[in-house]
Amino acid sequence: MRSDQPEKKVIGLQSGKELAYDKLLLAAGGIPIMLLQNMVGLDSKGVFTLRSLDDAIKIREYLPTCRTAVIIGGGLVGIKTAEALMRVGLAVTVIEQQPQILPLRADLTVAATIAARLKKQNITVLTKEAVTEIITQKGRANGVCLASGGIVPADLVIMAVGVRANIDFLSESGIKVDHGVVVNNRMRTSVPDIYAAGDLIRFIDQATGEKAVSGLWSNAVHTGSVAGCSMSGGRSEMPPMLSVMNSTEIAGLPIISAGLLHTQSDQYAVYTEAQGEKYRKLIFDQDRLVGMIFLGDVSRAGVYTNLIRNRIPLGDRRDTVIREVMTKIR
Amino acid sequence: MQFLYAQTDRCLGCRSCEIACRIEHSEEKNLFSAVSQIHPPKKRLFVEQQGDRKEPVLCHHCDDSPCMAACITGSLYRDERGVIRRRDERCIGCWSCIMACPFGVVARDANLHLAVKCDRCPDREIPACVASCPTKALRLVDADMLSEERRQEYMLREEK
Ligand SMILES: Cc1cc2nc3c(=O)[nH]c(=O)nc-3n(C[C@H](O)[C@H](O)[C@H](O)COP(=O)(O)OP(=O)(O)OC[C@H]3O[C@@H](n4cnc5c(N)ncnc54)[C@H](O)[C@@H]3O)c2cc1C
Repeated sequence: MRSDQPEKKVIGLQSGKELAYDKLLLAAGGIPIMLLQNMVGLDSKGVFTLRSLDDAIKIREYLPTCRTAVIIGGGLVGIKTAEALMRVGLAVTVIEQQPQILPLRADLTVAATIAARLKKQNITVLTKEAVTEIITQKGRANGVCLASGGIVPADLVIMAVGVRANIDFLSESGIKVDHGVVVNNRMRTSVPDIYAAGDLIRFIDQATGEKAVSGLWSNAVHTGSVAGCSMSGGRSEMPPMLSVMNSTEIAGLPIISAGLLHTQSDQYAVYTEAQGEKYRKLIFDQDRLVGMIFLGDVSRAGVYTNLIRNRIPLGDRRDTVIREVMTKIR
Repeated sequence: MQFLYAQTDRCLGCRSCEIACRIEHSEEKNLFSAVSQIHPPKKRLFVEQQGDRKEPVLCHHCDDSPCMAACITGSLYRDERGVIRRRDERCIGCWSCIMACPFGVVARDANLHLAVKCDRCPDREIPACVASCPTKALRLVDADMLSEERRQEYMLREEK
């Protein structure tokens, strides 16, 4: 989008044509981050990111020539991809530079439990380790070099180091961006008649009070419907949103986490309960629930994610909530 | 539009509704099947007790349905009765609906790897839980009828 276009109310297409609009919705989503743009070997065959169905199909088509895979990044996409590749018979190694896998979605305890389960399935998990170079042979990836000096064989390398808002195409448009497109609570951008929703917006995280960009389906659905309503003249407001609100199952263990997961300061009171691999954690700021992790037993999780999202002051019901959550692990 | 209504002061906490729900969702739709089939069916409503107060907690098939908004595969949908249901073949067991439901009434069936919730008994005219309730604490009501009833209750209370 060029700088003169918002005023003329047109957008430019790849074909060179222009398309006129009365109202415009920006919903271009997120794009995978390509770690270390200038890493050696990044453009060789067998190196993939995973965002779209197309990406998945390309990976599948490449599989017949592969026996080993390295996943760079131990986040949700990395771990789920690792499991999928393990199931089709590849020897898989996940490499994460943080001290734990799922650094944004789990605490150390949960990460350790999940890592142990993954190892049982013969997935190798390396933490506090980084990839410095992709080794290639005749233009095809066949291994990675580690910061610690070793080499891991890999016919297939998946880059799963996160996503960022897809906003580069707006850089000349005059639309205000700050890691993501800045919107008001009706999903309007700083430019009249242009709205934005989904993974490319920036919002305020209810749990942390900080600016955030998320890659969450439910946030995309909610902001999309608010934008649609505003654009057609209705009145509807952005609901309170969290940048962490995830649910999945890894190696047979369901996990749901929301809000604030890592706390250092004394401002927060932390309660945990474990039963074998099952684990629950609640984090309170005074009488407000601000974070939670449920592993193994995720029953009734929505009751608590909603307390976090809506910043409900619990008063003396706080103790009841703690008791409910901690005694009902099944 | 009809919905399930729980009149909590009538609930004895007998859990007949929970049993009826399991039976209805068992393979053979009988008690024997509900307890003896390899993977016993999960209940889709929950009788909760807080102090003296007993109450069946059930799916409201919400207008703004957070479960459906959270469903990343399009498995959850609203049927012609307005009831939120699951397309089995699309449910991948990611539990996003469990994460989203503020009433905590979506459950995880670990055996079948499916999210389980109230489907308001598509094979029956009156849902099993309602039919089984001995005190009529659970009823299937029209939205209009209920507001009429509420108004009358209110008027009666005002008159006293
Ligand atoms: C592997 C994977 C697993 C995920 N799992 C979960 C999960 O379990 N739970 C969860 O909550 N979220 C999950 N997500 C995130 C979720 O998919 C996103 O939050 C959601 O898709 C965001 O929707 P969106 O419409 O904002 O963007 P997108 O779905 O990314 O859609 C944007 C679309 O715009 C197109 N586009 C981009 N730029 C342009 C352009 N310049 N012109 C025209 N078209 C353009 C893109 O091709 C794309 O089709 C996952 C994502 C991935 C990749």
